[in-house]
Amino acid sequence: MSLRVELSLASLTWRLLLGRRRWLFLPLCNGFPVLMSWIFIREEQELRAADALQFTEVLLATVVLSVLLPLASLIFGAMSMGQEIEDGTLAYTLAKPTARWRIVATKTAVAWTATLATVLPGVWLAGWVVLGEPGHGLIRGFTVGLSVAALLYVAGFLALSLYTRRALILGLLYVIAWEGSLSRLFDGTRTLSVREYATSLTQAVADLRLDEGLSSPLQPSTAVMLSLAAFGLLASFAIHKLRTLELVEEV
Amino acid sequence: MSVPDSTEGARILVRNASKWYGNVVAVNDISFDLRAGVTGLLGPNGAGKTTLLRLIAGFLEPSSGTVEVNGQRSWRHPKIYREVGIVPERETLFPFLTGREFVRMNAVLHELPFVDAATEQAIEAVDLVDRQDERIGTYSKGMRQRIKVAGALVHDPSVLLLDEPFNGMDPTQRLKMIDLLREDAARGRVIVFSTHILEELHHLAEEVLVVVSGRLAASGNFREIRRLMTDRPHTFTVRATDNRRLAAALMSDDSVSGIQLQDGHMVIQASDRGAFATALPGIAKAQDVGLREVIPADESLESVFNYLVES
Repeated sequence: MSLRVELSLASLTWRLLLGRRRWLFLPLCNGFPVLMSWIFIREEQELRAADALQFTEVLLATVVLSVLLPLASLIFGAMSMGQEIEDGTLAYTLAKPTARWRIVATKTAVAWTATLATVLPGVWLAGWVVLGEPGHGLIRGFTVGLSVAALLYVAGFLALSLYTRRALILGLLYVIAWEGSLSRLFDGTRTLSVREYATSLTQAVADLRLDEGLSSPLQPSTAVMLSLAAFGLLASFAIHKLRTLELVEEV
Repeated sequence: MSVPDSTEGARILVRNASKWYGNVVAVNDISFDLRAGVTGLLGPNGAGKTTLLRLIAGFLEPSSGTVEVNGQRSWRHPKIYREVGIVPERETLFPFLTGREFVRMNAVLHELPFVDAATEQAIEAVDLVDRQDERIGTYSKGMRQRIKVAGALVHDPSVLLLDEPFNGMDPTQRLKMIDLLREDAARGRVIVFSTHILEELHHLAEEVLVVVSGRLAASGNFREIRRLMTDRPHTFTVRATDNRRLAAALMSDDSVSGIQLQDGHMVIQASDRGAFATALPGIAKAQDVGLREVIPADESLESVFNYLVES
């Protein structure tokens, strides 16, 4: 199977996502954790390794994993198809013999790449500024955790955009209400939180346990299984919906 | 452009197709069978033309009935798009792409073996070679229509569906597009386009389907449809120096089917508009009655279509 179709769709989606000065989102989001790290080391006269590690954990877990990543995933995931549905241009993609799963897979991959480009360089730079090395175990851990979380968020928000035109609002509510607070109320609900999967995987790869309040009790194997199941389910929803999507004209 | 051999069996078959959204019926029990040639879908705005085209294109699921393109149901069969080209009505395109990039993208997504040659041919066909490297965002409305047509033709489909394709085109572009579509139809392509302007059908459509309020109000060739539309009764409001005398004289004229005397004027039903317009001054002169006002009633497209439905 030639990848020309995927490359063409990917190029179109990339330009749709990062056009109209939306590329500014990349330096802004990447710059924020770097700026915080720079301020931190300027403020600390005698920087201890433990403090640096704790600061990085808090910064990456609360600012990047809890805020920047879900927001970037929401914007890129929901827009990768939602924008074309909104302005009617999806007709040009759907009026082709391309299997619908190929369209979903390509759009998901592009939105995922855009999301990672929005947060990962900032994470690596922040790690370098505070910990003195971008390849620190904690940074490697967050790279894996954030990548998995981005994939799940993007798949979820892309699927949501196929079911409703209010994907951005509903997605934001989900991020704030569920991921932000409700999922952490009980141990049972933690198994239904992307943030928990990401934290568990981060801990496993970094071979450490994050501070109390930031850590996850989920076993890494459980997090992997649940992540795979969630991704499979969300991708299936999206593919099924795209196969049966009606392009209704504006009245 | 050449039309592939597969056009031999090109056919659109719509059987008792309906589409409704909740309580709103957009298309109501429509049936037709189209083969090679150009067919115009005529109807006022909101009549259901776009819904019908989208049903044929497989973008909508029929609520009842069936829609087939080249023997395959169009809904949930993406493979039909190898044989179908679609030009949607909405103007929105990808403004950051050049015309060439847009057509090329369509060729790639169709997995054509010779993408560049097909792209070149399609752009030549719509006469946009000189502007192909400019961004679509800078194109005029007419140029956008043409580049959409190029994108729809790039894979040489046997069925071409166009929703209001002449919107925004100047007369020269329109004639060129008409020539292009007629040539393609002559080679065996099934072409269906929608319009709300009767005269757009004049030089292009061999068959006309008139859609009003979601129903097929009339079908036939262009001349039949135009005769139906022009031969219907017309209403005139006439104010004369002696309304009663003129009314009595007009009643014996064949072109008049009815007269109502109202407060200071007459409302006249003319069965033959042309004959009435010719006869009226002569009759008035013979009766020595002066004509103060002759006003044809408002004949909006809606009223013309409604007449077709009622008849």
